[in-house]
Amino acid sequence: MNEEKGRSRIPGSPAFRISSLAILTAVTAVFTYMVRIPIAPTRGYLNLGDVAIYFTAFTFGPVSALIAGGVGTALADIISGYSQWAPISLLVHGLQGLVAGLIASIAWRGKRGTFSLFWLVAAVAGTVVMCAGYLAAGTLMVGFSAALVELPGNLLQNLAGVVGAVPLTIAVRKAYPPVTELRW
Amino acid sequence: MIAPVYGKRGQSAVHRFDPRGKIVLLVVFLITFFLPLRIEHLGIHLAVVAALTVIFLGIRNVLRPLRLILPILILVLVLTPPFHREGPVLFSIRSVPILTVFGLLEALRLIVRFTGITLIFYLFMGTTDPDSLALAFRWFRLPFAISMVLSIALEYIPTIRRIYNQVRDAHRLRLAGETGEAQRAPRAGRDRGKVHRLAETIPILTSVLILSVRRIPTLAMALECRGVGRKNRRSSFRSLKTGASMTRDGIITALITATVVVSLLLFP
Repeated sequence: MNEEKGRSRIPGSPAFRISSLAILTAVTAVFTYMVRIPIAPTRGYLNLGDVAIYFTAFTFGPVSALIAGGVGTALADIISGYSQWAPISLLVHGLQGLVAGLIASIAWRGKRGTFSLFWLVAAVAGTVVMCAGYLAAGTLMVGFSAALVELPGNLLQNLAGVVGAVPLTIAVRKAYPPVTELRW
Repeated sequence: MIAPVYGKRGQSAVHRFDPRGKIVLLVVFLITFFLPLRIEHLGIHLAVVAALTVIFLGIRNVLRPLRLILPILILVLVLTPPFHREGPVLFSIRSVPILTVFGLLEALRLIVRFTGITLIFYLFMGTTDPDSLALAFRWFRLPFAISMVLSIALEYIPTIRRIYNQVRDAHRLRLAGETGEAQRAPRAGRDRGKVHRLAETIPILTSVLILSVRRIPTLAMALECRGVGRKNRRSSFRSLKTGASMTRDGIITALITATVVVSLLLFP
């Protein structure tokens, strides 16, 4: 039992990978479909899925952000009744997480638990990937003009994601330092 | 947890149909809607999908997704024609064509495409339970680890939602006194912007994230105790259809696919 207990704590073990990806996917899904900040003038809302994606990218790395970001947002779309967007979310948010995670990984080797400018670069790259991806997919589904209307909303949502994810990542690492050991 | 959005789970023929066949048909219909077909042809495909949705999910379940996408459809109808100025002009302002026949047809094509995609996904998700879906994806060679992640994530979403609600309520209770002071101070509590709201959400999200990631090692241990990570072949509590019923559903899938392909070849 002790041997089993010790082995499961190795972040590279298959069970550990599956469990971390599953929990992060569920967190991304809940942040996307449940945590919403209303925008009064348009009666729309900002979802905080991007906060979870960037947190995963900064803390858990590109592969976790790819899977948790893609699958989590796709599940949120399915649960909310917008399942037609699920394949696009899977691809676009997955790529967004991967790109942000790859860039943030450069900073990982240096400082642990502190703010890095690479996070902002990663977030900007992630924003470009997400906005370009949704514009391309939207053009295919509803045409360029209607897809273009969605662009400011996507930019605003990403901005909220970055503004939220940076302090959140620092706060989580300060309040729960072992989180950095959960990276694989 | 997915069921309430898509209506009550039924026991119709489509509900019982093999999920592998449904995935194939979903892809076939999606490709059809993206092909540059004539508007009448796309309309027939949309009518077939809408009829299937009404028959197997009920009229209310056709209106529900349409209500969700209505704002986008209106945007498409208003914004698409001005970008396509070819063909006979139907409406112009000071010799600038605003609405042409081609623009109108293009807008209708996009509306039919998006409505069709929405309904086909709605029909698919409304008649397929997540466990069968995960099994079908595994049959299509999706890695075991990914399907396991999908299954566990679906199980954990309600748990994390519950954690979020508890933490949010706890924070509200803690801030109750401060809110009282804010109400007494003029404008202090009312003019809160989006950034302020986001800032208020951060402590809640921090707590939710910590409570969630702390579960990772425990869940990993539980999975190892159940043999996840071993090399031997895994058994499954649930399985997909086999034998005659699988063959029957396979033949039906092939027949529908062939009909769609033939119709595409005959009426491009």
